Amino acid sequence: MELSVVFSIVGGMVLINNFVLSRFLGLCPFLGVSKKMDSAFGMGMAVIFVITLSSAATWIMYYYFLRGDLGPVLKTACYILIIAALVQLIEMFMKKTMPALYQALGIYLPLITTNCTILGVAFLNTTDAPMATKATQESFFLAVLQGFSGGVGFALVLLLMAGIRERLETTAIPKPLQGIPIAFFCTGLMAFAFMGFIGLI
Amino acid sequence: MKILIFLTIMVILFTGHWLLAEEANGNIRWETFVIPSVLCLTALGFFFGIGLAIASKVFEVKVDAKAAEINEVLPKVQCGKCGFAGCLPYAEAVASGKAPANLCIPGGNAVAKKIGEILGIAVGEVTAPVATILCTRKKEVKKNQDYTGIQDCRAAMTLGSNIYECAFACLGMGTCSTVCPFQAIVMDDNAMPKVIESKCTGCGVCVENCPVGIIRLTPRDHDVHILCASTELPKIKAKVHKKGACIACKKCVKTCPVQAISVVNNVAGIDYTKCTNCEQCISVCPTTAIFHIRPQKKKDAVSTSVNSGA
Repeated sequence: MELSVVFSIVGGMVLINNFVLSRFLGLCPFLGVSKKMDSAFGMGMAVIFVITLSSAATWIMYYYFLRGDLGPVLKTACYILIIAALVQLIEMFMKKTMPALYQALGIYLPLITTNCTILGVAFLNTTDAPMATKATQESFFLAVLQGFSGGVGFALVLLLMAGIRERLETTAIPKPLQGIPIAFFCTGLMAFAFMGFIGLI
Repeated sequence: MKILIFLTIMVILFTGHWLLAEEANGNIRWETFVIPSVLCLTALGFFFGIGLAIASKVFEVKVDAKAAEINEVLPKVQCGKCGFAGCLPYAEAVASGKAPANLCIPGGNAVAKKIGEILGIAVGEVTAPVATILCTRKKEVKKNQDYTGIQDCRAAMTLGSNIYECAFACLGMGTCSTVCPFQAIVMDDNAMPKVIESKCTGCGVCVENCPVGIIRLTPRDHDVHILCASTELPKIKAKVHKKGACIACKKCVKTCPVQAISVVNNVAGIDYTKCTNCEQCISVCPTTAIFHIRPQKKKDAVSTSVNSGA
């Protein structure tokens, strides 16, 4: 495995092809949970946790079962099923064995069960589409890495946004723009800024 | 058991896979795509369902039946005002008799009554605290800067110092009023906040958001307060104010019959667990910093004392 592939996956998922700012996935949790720093942090950590595990599970599913002709037909439904079941299982397992972690992440887990970032990375790992790194189809490690760095990218942007929105609360904003509209404006400007990373790789 | 389920899923999926491979070159047909897909997904959903059902038994967390019942009636805002980490820990503590049942402030008396019914015990009144603004900011306190920025106390305080000469003066831009989720704080004509006690739930949002730190939560049944939070030296306070600031003269400390007042950091404070609302301190305070916050009650008190005098 070449090291450059690893770098291109990590850099690409965290900064360049960021889930929120470039692929426009996961906008609902992004705008819903970015009002406060601590809930944004909890949500970010939960997303990283779930996205890593689910990209591992969906990759196994893809590699061993879905590479035939039935694959394109069944992919979506299978991924949704497997992710939902996995998150449920994790929640139960955490409640029993790690109550402290459950207290911290528990409320966010059902929220991200069928979050589009989670499903998005499962597809990205196993697709031929031009934006995707095809190496992840053959390598379990790269697929999990892509999932993890996608989650990191989401958490990063979520935390940045929470910081901005905490500041926005004390500023004078025209009435029609208050709340979600100004948050969308900020997201757009952040997307512009993140476009600057394109030359990185 | 789990291995068995996994094997069955694998067998079914491979069968579907194999069925398809037979007619890979043909057009998409009913029996090549639809039936295997439906079968595969049904099997998958079935086994995930059974798997989760088993897992929910294996990983079941035993919750005390009474605690679960109490948790149901709690408001579940997880505010932590009862002194526990959240609603469920509080419910467990109440169920095991470690905590009184009247600590839930957002739930109020209604929830306390329901908890009492579940446990079959008598429950006392819920006493939510009320927000008190510890500043009277008399007109003689002048502004020492011309602030024209965003009209928000938090924004103004980020510039470094109070816009009034007194470092603990209320800025009067109404942040407490805008953040109050219950509209319980209104700004009066002199740009001073007033707490409407009937609306105040003691949630403490204003306390967190006041950048000067002059809002406190005080017990609802106490109406004698020292309306000054300034920890500056008495000399400086006396220079800026003629009236209204605590100059730490300790007259109230000596007067108080129950030793409820003490001077800490140049400002007197009342221990509300000891205070009996006897009002003796009000008359001795040379700067009128000790104050009745509730004019209504004051009137009542005066009328009763007049009556008893007559």
